[in-house]
Amino acid sequence: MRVRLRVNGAERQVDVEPRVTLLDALREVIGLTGTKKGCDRGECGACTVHVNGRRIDACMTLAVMHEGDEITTIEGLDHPVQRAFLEHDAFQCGFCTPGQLMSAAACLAEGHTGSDAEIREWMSGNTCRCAAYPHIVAAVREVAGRA
Amino acid sequence: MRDVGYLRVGDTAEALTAAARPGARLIAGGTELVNLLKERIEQPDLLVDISRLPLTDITVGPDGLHLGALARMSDVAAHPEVRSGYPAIAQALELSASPQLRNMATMGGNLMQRTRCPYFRADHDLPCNKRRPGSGCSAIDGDHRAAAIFGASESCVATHPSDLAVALVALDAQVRTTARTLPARDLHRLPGDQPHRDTVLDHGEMILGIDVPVSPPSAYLKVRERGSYEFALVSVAVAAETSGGVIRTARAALGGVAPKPWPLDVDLAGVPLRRDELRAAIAPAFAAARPLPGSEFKIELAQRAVVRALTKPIGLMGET
Amino acid sequence: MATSIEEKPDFKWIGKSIRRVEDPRYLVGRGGYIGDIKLPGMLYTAVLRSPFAHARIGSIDTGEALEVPGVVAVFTGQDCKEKMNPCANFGPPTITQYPLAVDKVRYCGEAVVAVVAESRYAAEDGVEAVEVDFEPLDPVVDPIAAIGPGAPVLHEEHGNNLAYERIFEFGEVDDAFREADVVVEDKLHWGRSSGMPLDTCGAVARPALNGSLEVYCNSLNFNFFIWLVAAALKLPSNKFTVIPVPAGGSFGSKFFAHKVPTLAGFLALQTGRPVAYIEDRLDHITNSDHHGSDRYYDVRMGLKSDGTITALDVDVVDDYGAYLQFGVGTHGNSLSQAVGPYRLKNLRYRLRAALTNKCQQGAYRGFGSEVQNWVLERMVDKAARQLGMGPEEIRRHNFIQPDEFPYKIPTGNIYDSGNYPAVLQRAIEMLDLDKWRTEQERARKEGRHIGIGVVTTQERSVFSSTEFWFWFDKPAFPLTSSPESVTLTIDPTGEFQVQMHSQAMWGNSPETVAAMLVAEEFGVDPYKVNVSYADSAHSLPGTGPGGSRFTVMIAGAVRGASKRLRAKLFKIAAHELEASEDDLEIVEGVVRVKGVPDKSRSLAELASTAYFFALNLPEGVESGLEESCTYDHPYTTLPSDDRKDLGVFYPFMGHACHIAVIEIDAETGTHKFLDYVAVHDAGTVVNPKTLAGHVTGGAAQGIGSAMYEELVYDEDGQFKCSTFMDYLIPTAMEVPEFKLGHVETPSPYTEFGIKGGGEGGRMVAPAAISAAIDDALSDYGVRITQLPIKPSEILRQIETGTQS
Repeated sequence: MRVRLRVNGAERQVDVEPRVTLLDALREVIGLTGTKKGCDRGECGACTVHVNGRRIDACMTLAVMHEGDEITTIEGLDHPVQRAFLEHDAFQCGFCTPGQLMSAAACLAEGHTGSDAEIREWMSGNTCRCAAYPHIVAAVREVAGRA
Repeated sequence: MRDVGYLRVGDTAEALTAAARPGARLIAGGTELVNLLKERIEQPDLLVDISRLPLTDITVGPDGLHLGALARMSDVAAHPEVRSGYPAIAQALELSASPQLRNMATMGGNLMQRTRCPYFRADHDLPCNKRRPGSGCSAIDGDHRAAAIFGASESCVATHPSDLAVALVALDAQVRTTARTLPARDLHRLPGDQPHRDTVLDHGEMILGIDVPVSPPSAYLKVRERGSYEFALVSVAVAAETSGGVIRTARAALGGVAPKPWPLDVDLAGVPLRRDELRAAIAPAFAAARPLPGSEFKIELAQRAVVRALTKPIGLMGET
Repeated sequence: MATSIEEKPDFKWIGKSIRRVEDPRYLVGRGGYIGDIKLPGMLYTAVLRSPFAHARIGSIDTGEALEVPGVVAVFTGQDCKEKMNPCANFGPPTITQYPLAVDKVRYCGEAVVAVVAESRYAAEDGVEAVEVDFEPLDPVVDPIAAIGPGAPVLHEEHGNNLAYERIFEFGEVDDAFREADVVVEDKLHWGRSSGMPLDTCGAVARPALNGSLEVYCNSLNFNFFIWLVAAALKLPSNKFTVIPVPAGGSFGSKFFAHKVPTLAGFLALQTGRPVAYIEDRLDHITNSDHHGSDRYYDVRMGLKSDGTITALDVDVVDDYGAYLQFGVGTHGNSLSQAVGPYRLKNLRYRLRAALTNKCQQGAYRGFGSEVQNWVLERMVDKAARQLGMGPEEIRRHNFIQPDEFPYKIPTGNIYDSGNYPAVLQRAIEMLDLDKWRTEQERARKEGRHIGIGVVTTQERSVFSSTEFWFWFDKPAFPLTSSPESVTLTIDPTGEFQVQMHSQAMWGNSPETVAAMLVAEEFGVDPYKVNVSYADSAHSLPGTGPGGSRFTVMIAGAVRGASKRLRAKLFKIAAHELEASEDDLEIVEGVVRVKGVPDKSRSLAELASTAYFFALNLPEGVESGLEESCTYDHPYTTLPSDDRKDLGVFYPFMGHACHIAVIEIDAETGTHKFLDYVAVHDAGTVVNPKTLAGHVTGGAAQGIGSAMYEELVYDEDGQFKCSTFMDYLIPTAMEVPEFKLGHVETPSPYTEFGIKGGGEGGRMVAPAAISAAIDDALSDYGVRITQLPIKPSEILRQIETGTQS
């Protein structure tokens, strides 16, 4: 099936079977491998992207369901929280980082940053096996202006 | 995941026609169905994409709260009047899944989750009467920590995962479908000898919305091992009016203990909001509990949770 | 939050918290992991995993699968057996393994059939179309029953399910118990968890020129073991090249992970096309090389009435699962620090390795030493309670003292340096232990349950290879090398290149470590140093990351190569400046005559000479500026023939004290961290920022192993944790803010005095958490004897007053 997506501001036509997830369409068809596959079951958040401005797990939705949708991946993200991650050493192996960043940018936009506890809760859909969590929280906190 | 047909529908009539086809399944948020497709537990021929139907309304009026079947979990949870007037619903939603999944999943889809058990969800096709009717139940002789204490049968001991459904039962909500309106407490069915059927809905029937009457103060409490993103060991939703430390009316439902949201059918009117009296008042409802050896702890835990939900502001476990 | 580490006036870079040089790539999703590699014409693999714990494989019908559109080929274990040798194996030769099961499946999830197709989706369609006729056998699940009489046998060739048994005795154990005033005993169980990185193992194999095979792969340690995989594939080792791909986390799980590259290599050889086999989550969780330790203990500890520990008697059955790829190396780790930080002289260690119908064991952060730490600390706590001593009191009483180093422990291993009382004291002060004890009492009166767990454990680093074989009287291959190499190049314009001879594991910040050390040696900006990784066809000897060895070994290799490179630079500069080499120094990238700063040459000028002006070079000096160093383990000795002394095999001994403050909700069995202090001694700290990341990450995984994570098999051997909703990894909600501190006792044996610190957090946290829960619920007599600790178990103990 043909589906038209807007990915990072550019129009993309892809031809995929209905069963192909948005994640696989991005990684395998469009070639944007920045978005990662960690569990493929919506349980780790490594595949977090923004669809029409909201963060979702790209592994749990089908590409064909996103006709005309505006999709932002890590390759299209330009957000102060990226610099904050750098300053706060908010990663180690980097594998979960694209998902963490997409989620962090959304968490900030949603305003779920009133306290560290709130940040932790609203970042809990993104697993970091290196457990850089305290540093991720610090980075989000800083961008939220509570540094 | 097997390949599958796909049809995006533009209105409810079109959806109904498509959904009536044998082998058709509705898809909206996808967070449940895509999972089941990946495990090859569900193998439909056609996915009917209803995600763009205009059923996303969240309205609060003098007669209560109305939720469209396609309202997203995150939108409902964030709605100021839901938070103030129906906190058990907002809390149940925010204690579910993850922020990303709540942005995807819908009201209707949440209610249509299958009951859950590690054997049903296993990587491969184990004996499971839900997966293959008549093949047996691996869980009964297996690990029981997640097993039901109420309403299970010899065919199935799985529990229902929805937090929202528990809150809706406590709030006496109604579910509107394309065929009927029914109380939320009657939507899900007990497994009996047909555990592959989780709800009473017919093939092709579609949830249109949820109606919640004006609610007394309510709360949702969830006990789980991890502080976030996990199904409940037990959970409880309560909606109660009290005066002078005594319950006037109360309705409660339990989650994590049965194949469906389990209404706590005891009359609590007149019971003082004190631990011992509450324990005595709810005890009869637990006489019917039939745990497996590994799920016995849920009987005590559930009663403690009910008492806590009624007596304390949401505590250690339910903090959001 | 962290206390500052000591000033190091001798160093310009070492000891500074610098931002890692690897970091920018992560911010745009360019970590370069195995799943991101797409070769032209590449095929994809999906495997059929066994639905049974134990079954004979009857007929396999692949006909229908081959008809599936996109499917290119289907292979079975029989194909492997016919065309390759068994996989690399450090265990008994009677336990053989192929990447696809042959004749029998021995655990739920074991790979049985591989389908290769034009897409992963098509490969999965192919798997679904394969028909395998399994004939179920009785499963062997309980490791104790497995080695008892009458148990079904996993490997007929081996004869029984006891893969290894030996009793090691050091000192006079029976005498010590006879003379003990107090003996405490316990049965303990450490449950099975694993590293579970988000980046699974994967390999992309490509048939290349001249009959050689190239394998892109994120398994670690290949330069050390590559010839073993080549041998399995029946290739000459020089026709098999591994191109290292960075590991997005390993935590042990990519430590010489052999099945994935072996299978990808086999499939590429058979199809003649590039083939990717990237584990999906289910492959990894059910069929990885590396489930972690799963041990059942009977332990006794003898003490004098004043609290002096005199003897330890450990009887452990370890549930190794179906294969023994790594032998019993995880117990070498236990033996390297078996007596912890305590002056304990008499030790008996009986090990039985059981084979069961579960996935094989391998490495997980700590490699088994973390289990010994937990067991030892559990026993010390039990003894303290019995003797009425405080946790810090009994520990202080038994500590090896700072003036006793280097200290030889009964097993023969050496502890190089340490100051255990100082570490404990720092932790107590950082936490304000008295304040928390007061708060604990106050809360108890309100019916709240706060517990404080104080533990002190060892943190061994930098294995040497004798621990692979000292188990056996007649080892097949008594290896003594475990080197690491670095090639250092100054290019023609004066820029630095470092080539590593092992895989990148980003979590280790390999490039930051190398760049900082080069900066330290030459006074250049670490962010300007470029780091690359040699493929195995071009690599010098290297062992690879694992066992907290990377920083120590790379430091040695960088230092060695720098020394050689500096000598050459000085030779060229001395010739140009007409000075003696002895009078030269390097300051901030400039070689100059001491005391005469304007008599100098920049590195760029010297490089230009070295590459382009051969006639300006002193006699006998070759063109170019490149030097390598292979740094061998700096302190390895052989075991004695009778194995009463295992020799020195893990001597750079870090130490840590963790104090956890936990509140337990006695009604629900759930918990909350109120405070957590972790003080570590990892010798000279190179980069406090990255070390803090390691301590935090390790402690978080310790929390996981202690309270959330368990790879559960039910009584039929069915695997019950195939998703992250069943195998619970700590999220941001579960990992507290750690207060981190350091004490630095430099190692006398390593360059710069560095010790490894990558695993330490996980070696301590489970013991601290167990102690804190016991303390919180002491009114109920709760004692944690098995991990992970689930709310249901806490409730059960509170309810019944009995321990598990």
